[in-house]
Parts: sequence; C-alpha cells; structure tokens
Amino acid sequence: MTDMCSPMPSTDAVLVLGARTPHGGLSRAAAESLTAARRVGTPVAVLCDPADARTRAELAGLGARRVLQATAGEIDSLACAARHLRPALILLTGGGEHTEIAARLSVRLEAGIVTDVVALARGDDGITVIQETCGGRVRVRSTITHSPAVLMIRPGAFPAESAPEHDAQPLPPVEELCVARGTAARTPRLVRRTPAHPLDRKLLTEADVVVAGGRGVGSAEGFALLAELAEVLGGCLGATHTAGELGWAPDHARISLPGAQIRPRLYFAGGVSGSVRHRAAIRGARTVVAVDRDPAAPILREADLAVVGDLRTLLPALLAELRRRARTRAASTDPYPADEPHAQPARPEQPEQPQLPQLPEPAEA
Amino acid sequence: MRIVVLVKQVPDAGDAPAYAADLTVDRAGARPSGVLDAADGCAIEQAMRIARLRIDVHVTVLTMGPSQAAHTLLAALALGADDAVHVCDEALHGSDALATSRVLAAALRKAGYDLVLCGAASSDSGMAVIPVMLAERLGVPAVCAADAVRVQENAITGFCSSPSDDELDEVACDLPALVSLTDRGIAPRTPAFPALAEARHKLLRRWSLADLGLDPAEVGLPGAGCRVREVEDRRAHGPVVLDAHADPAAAARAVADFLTDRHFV
Repeated sequence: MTDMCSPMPSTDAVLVLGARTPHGGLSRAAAESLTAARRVGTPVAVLCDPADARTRAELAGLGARRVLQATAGEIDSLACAARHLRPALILLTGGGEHTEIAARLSVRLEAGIVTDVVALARGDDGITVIQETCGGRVRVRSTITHSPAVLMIRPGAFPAESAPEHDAQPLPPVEELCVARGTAARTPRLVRRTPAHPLDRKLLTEADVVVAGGRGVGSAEGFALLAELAEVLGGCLGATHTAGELGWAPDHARISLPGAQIRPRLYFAGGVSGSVRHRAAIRGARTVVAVDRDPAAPILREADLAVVGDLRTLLPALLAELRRRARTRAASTDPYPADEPHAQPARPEQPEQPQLPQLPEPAEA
Repeated sequence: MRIVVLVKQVPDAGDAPAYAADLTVDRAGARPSGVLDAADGCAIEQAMRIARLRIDVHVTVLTMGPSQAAHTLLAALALGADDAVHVCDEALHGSDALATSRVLAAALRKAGYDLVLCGAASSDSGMAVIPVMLAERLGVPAVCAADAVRVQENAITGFCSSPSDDELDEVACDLPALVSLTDRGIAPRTPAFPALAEARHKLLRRWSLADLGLDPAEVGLPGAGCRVREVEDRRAHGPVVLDAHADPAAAARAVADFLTDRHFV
C-alpha cells in the first residue's frame, strides 16, 4: 500500500483531463467534467498537449484554477499530477477511451473507482456521489472514504456551463508537469478497420433504445410518428406481433416469442397492451415507458412510467417537446462552438430553458 | 495453452439486484436465481471453440464470490470447461472493483494463463472496468469489448465494433493477453445431460485469501474506496402513472422530464 491510501485528502483539488477535440477546442467531455468538478472542489486541468491561448481561455471560462501541462500520455500525466497534488477526486467522463484511462489510473494509484456518476455534492461527511446502475433503474448514494477516488461521470449528466463571473479566473497559469514515464501499457494494434454493414448497425436485439407500437397505434401512419420518436431518441423501431400481422410494421421488427427478444436501456411502448409473449420478450429492458388508452393494460404494470392516454394526441406533443428541448440544449450547453473560438456562450434562451433541478423526482401522478 | 475464463454470478436478467442490509448486492440471500452472466457464457463458448481447434488447450473457469457462486462454476463446467477455481473468503464480502481486480489478478497469477477471457460488462453492475484493471495489474495487452476472437500460434485477433457501431475493428496482439467479450458473441449451447452429470466430477478448487497471499484489510468493505449510504430501486414502488386524457401537452412534458431525468435525451 502506498501513501495514496491516506484517509483524508490534503487538498480539495479535483483533477480533470483537459481532452481536446480534433479541431483544437476543449472536448465536451472535458467541459462537463470541469462543470462537475466546480461543485465539489477546485478544478485543476491536466493537458497532455501544448496549451494554446484558446484552450486556456476555454479552461478559464469553465472555472479551472490551475492548468498542468504534461508531454506524456494521459494515464502517466494524470497519475503524476495526482501524486503531486493529492487531489480529492479525479474526474473523467464515461464512455470511449476514458473508461480505459480511468481503470488504469485506479490501479496505478490504488484509488477507488465509481462509474455512472450523475450527481456530486460536498457535505459534512465528505463528498457524496450518486450513481445510477442497472440502466438508470437503481440509484446508489455513497460517500467517498478514500482519496483520491476516480469518478466517471455519465455523459450529459452535468451539462457544460461556464463558471459564474466571480468564479471565472482571468487566465489560469500554465504549469509544466514533469512526468516520469511509467512502463508503457502493452496495447493491441489495429490491423484493419472496415465500415460495418448497414444491416449490422441498428439491430433491434442490440439497440439501446427501442420504440415499439402495437394495435393501439391504429394505423401504418401512426407508426411513422413512432419511427420519428425512435429517431429523436436514437433508437430502433419495433412492433408487437399483432401490429406485424396487420402489416403496419415489417416482420423483422416483431418483438415477441418467437421473434426478437430485446434488452434495451429504454423501451418505449405505444399502444401496446402487453401480451404474455410480448412481455417475455422485453424482460431484459431496463427502463420501460408505456402509453396506452386502457388503464388495465398489463404493460402499464411493468412500466416505470405508465401513461394512460391517447397516443394520437400525446405522440405529436411529445415529439414537439423533445425537439424543443434539443434545440434549447444545443443553444445553451455547448459553450464554445467549434467555429467561434473565444466566443462567450450565447445563451439568449436561458430564461426559457426549463431549469431542471439537479435530481428531479419523476413527476407525481 | 491455458485459457482462463472469468465468470460472475449475477441476479437473473430482468430483475434488479436485491440488496442486503449492508447495501451490498444480495448474492447469497433468498433469491437463489443467480445465473451465469450472459457475456460470460459467450466467453466460455469462445474458449470452447478455441479448444476444439487445438489439442493443447486447457480451459479453467475462475470466479470470486460467496459459496453459492459454485453453482455458476458448475454451469460453466457443464458448458465444457476442464476445471474450476473458486476464490471464496468471508473477508471478500463487499469488495469494490479495485479489490476485485487485486484478488482476480492474484488468482490468475497463481493459476497461470496464456489467454484470459471474460465478459465485457456484467449485467448487475456494468462498470466494465475490471478487464482493463486486470490487464494493468498483469501487464498484458487487453482487447476490450470484442465480439469474437481468433487465435494464432502465439497471437490473437479480436473483432470489435467501434463505439459508434458503424465500423468494425480488427485488433491483434501477442499472447499472453486478455480479451473481454460482449454478449453479442456466440451464445453457449444448452449442455446435454451427460455434460451436466460430468461437471460434478470435474476439479473445483477453492482458494482463500491466505492461499493467494492477500491481506484481508485490503479487500471487502473495509478496503472499499467509498461507502454506500443508500440504494433506491426506482421501480420498487410500482409505475408512476400519468393521465394524459385531460392535458396531452402536460403529459408530454412529464414524459420528456422523465426521459431527461434518466439521461435518455
């Protein structure tokens, strides 16, 4: 055991990897991590390539107090910075190569690792972390007992926001970080990269989000609306056995036994009553939202959110609402669009933006 | 060639895990429905396919868990593995990912390996960090989230889909190596009855922390990096019911709020 496992941190620094996009700007992952880091401590950004003026300005706008510049790989640099600064936390945004960085860092520093973090707070008993597991179904609140801890935040859980005026620093000093290179991790080499066959892309059985309809949709035109919803949510369109028989949806979209058995993170059922075979085929779904006219439909009992109502009025309203929110988000949370370096975030729609509380409870019935 | 397949007992698909009084996942409790994780099943099948093509392959399944996890090992042995190792110790209760990787790495060193196969992400916690942590500890290259593996004499090729799912990557590395497999691979066959019967006579070794030379203080709940205070299963109270007949727009907003809250938009 090394000295990294001391009970309390000596500083309230929060290390953030200042990853950049190929275009040179700060990546959204880094912006979200910095936003989260401001809530629990003093954000310190670690950059692995030369800090140019634009990056420094972006980091300052997001509240970074210090910028450490290293010339080694991400894992070596973060590990070295952690040994120097003894931070309370190291924040990374989940997904992609950051998972590997987080896992290797955790082993090198003998630091605990928490994934899928959606909320962070500093209280009397230290830093409290809320994570969502089982596809968002289970919410776990824990307190950090050993520092440093490596946290992987859920992408999108902390929309990037510029630091408030009094918090923003003029321009944080860039400090050189001298990294002793560890033994390089042996990594596999890429032999070939081929575009996937279009049919392989969105398989119903592997989709993260599935939007399905049943007899209650009423017509093939109704399915077109569901397909739009599937596109907005980035998912696949499915159908019940009955809807397939009626010719409203293609055969391969049938979710039933026999048929496709799915295990998405989100399953949205519209006008599906929920026959035994259909419910058996969606057992693996993590979060279920069901809309049906009949309050006694069996699918509503299986759902996390059950909506009793008419799909024909609800669906257009939902589509409009989701699109409006997507526009608002695009306007407000990308503080530094790629084509406008140094631009301050344009947020004209701020007053209209629905201010989501940090941990909103699902709407009461 | 020694292949070690790491397996995990998880609560049955579709159920959220039950939690014990100390807020750890209840793996020993009332529900005996612990099953082999789907991705681990694919990893075993992958190992068996490699074994069929070579004569020098020995497949060991390795798990860490309470005594009930032996059922999962039996299931894995019935799928064709040659022998099994069960790391079982009271002190392991409540181990976090860091401690788990420490224990599994020690067990892998003791067992010996040329190729380590495991599931890419378990269906109960889904952190997907253990494979990389093990590779870091063992100093071997890791092919993460592969759909299939092909083995050459002293090297392997893994087939992975890129995160955006529109490209297929073919990556290669020398043995010894670690490969984590997704549940998109080949699902294991249903074992025949003779295989089930035979599984009971295969070697099942039980190793404690002392056998691995590990300090109990470094693992389990005392060694964990954070302390769980509260667990909330958001489906436990039944569905949230909305009535959309009166005001579809309000209901649409509520649905959008729900989707935002669960990070789907």
